[in-house]
Amino acid sequence: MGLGGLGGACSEPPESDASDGSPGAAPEGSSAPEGLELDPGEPAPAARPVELDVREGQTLMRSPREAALYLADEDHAKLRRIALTRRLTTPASIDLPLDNHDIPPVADDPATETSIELPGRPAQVFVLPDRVLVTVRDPGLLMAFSLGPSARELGRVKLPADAWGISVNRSGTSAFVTSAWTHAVSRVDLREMKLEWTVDVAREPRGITVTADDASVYVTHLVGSDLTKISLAGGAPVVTRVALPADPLRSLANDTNVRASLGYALALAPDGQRLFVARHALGALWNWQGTPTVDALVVAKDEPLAPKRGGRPFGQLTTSELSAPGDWDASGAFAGSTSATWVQPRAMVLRRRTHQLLVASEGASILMELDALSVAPGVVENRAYRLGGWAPMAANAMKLPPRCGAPSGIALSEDEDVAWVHCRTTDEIVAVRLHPNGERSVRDERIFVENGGYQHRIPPWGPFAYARLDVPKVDEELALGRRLYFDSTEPTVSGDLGCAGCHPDGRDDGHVWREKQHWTFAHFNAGPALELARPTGVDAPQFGFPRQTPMLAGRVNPLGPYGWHAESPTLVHRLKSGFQLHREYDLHTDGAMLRMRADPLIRFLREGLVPPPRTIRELTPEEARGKELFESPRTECATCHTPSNEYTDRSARALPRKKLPYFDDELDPAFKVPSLLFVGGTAPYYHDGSAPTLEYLVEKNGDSMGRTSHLSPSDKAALVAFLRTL
Amino acid sequence: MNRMKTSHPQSRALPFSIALLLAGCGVAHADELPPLEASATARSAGPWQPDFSEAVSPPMEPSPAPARAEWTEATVAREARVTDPSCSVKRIREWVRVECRFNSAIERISGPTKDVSFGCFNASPDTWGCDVGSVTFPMRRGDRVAFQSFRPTKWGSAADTFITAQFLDGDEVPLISVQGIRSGV
Repeated sequence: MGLGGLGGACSEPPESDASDGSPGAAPEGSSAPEGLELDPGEPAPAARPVELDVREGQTLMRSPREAALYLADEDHAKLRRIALTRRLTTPASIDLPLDNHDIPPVADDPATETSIELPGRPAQVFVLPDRVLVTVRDPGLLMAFSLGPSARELGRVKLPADAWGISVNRSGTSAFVTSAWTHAVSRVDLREMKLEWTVDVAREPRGITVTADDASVYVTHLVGSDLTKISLAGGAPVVTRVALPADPLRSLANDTNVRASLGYALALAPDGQRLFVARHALGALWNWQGTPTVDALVVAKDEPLAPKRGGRPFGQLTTSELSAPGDWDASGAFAGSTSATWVQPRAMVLRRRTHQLLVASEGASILMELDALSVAPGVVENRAYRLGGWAPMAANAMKLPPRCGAPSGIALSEDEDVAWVHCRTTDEIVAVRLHPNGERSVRDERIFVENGGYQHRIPPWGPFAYARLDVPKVDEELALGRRLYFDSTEPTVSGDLGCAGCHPDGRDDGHVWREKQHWTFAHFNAGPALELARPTGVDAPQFGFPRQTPMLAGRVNPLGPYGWHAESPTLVHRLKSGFQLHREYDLHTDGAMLRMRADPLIRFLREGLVPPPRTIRELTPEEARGKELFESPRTECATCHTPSNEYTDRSARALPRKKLPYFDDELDPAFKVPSLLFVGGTAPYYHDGSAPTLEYLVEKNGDSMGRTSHLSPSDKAALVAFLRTL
Repeated sequence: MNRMKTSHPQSRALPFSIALLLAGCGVAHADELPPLEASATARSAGPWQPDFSEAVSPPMEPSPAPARAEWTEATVAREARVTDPSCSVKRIREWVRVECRFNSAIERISGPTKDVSFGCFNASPDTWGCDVGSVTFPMRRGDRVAFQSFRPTKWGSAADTFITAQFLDGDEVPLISVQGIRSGV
């Protein structure tokens, strides 16, 4: 029935000698201090095979054997073990219904935790009955530690750099790990702690899961809507791509420009029939930035669960048709829900008892509850648990929720009545009281009118405890920049999509946006292109100029200039323009307000974003040949891409370019020479994304950028090999 | 884990308020509508959380569409999730009927069109729209379908309810979801 019934992370019950059987209660006769849970001690190692129901790793995961959570704290390079004290597991009793002015009690304490320093930043954990596995980004590692407050390392396996997502097979004998920047997936034998194989996959693999029969592995990507499938049945892994359109019920039919990004999280239904993938649909309708979505795959057939829409092909609908759902006839209807509150889906779990999905919205500080029984779970919001409270309303205040910045990991209690969420940029864990049977929230539960204005009623369902992590103090400006980078709600900085929404990890989303002119201001739009009737007498472009998202990490240290045409003399100027570009309405605000936000953001861009891993090593003969060609006066590459200046002279140069269909002609043909640092991982290329790979770029270049037409095929390959080392 | 004292005031209040509203409207042709008591039963049983315990698998072979009297006699499908209090769901064999009150139209977004039918009941000849709109469709193995209903507003029709159903090979019964859009967070 349903999605496969109940189950927890492991089919074995957690060890507890508590009198009521709950992990949150102290054993009978104990003298534990109020609010502090007795540690049951290190559990006995698993002497028998286990069967795991949940097979996807998370940033935060509950231990099946202890009253504890394990956290991959990326920003502090630590593995943390947080004890599940009574305050974190048992909300205070409340009498319903609440009065308008009642506020449910919320505990706020330091976390009871221990931590281990790691050799690099961790990304995910997977807690087995006898140990906890951790992926480390740089150096790429899979590490294993014993459980308990005195954890010790049990072993490690070297992996391709930027190890990120982890999945463990049902028997707990193998782990599958994605390496994001190095676009690889590896299999590790957990009994021997040995690498078995590594395969090359598409750009930025992140979330990963293995099917219950161990026959296949599915991988989501930070960039692009297709999944990667690795078939294991035949012995050697076979890599294929599986199409999973993003938010198809709210996208133009056959619109090949609707991409997906932010594919961090996925969840396989317990019966293995459906794979739920959370990401951002770029080019979906109703919002300039696209829509957050959960798309489902029918695993047995490798086809999308959402039935295919009919309708006229891409580019043939007009805005007047789009403005009135219900008037479609042969053109095909779209789902009319405009929900986009929960942007930047960063983590997801399946709440099996209620057949719902819980998605952590990194940008909006919300835990969003969605219906897993729907063919398109992301279309309608069931309930939003506001994790951080309400932002201050004062005119000049920084309008950020006071708590829980950038939710990044979710763990559920065994009875699924409580969720714990890691709040990355405020360094805390929040415990959330979930509605018992997944009832939809209604508007009047949260808003009432008093003294002529709307007031917020605090719902009984939501945070009931915060546990602050023990982290070193950083200066306030840098901490603020970190918060602003991920947040989508601060109205001056974000028009409902945070910086991290397009620049995840300071990288890029691989999407070509449209820079459109709207009367007095320019703004970005994710798509789609439409055959718009141009208003009479208006020559303003309508399709927009193509603007592929640039990578930021490691590329914004110079003073300036910035901008596609080098129009912003400094990064401050660029950010101020950026605040206007990233919304669909005129941002009326003064320079001081912009500066209050630009300065902290710049600190974080330069000091907080971590560039991708680079291996400093001796060049191979082919790469050395490529370097020689790059620097040769005959090719002229180094003339504009000056090696001593991060491979750019930062000038604006006009290059012959062909106009793409459904984009407008550039008003200014001169584009700033981009930095080539990390260029190997930022496909596609050019401001319009017209070169899908470096090989294509060099092959088709001719003599339009420097001179490469005279190069032999092996020399072109050498040049590309060198570029990949930058 | 200790359970808190809770109650569900909304679910108790809704059937009463809808009963008052319908009494005031003077609905005609009541024998064509599902009885109000059936909807109330569905809500009090927790339509937010579907109950699969008594759901019967549809037959393997297609069956004839149910007659009107069969729909009238049928009880609500407790295995359907219904989060829009103006809607209810019934299922007879593989046939599913979703009815939503106070809407102007129901339309198909995607999925098979074969044997899909729409109904519209309007109590008054002086108004437009449907007091009760319905869609009836078969769910056979492999089918997935999506509809939405619209409610008239002063700015025009607005999407009001998102209706989907799916029946994969490994499912015992169709999974049906009827979600309110506009009453949101």
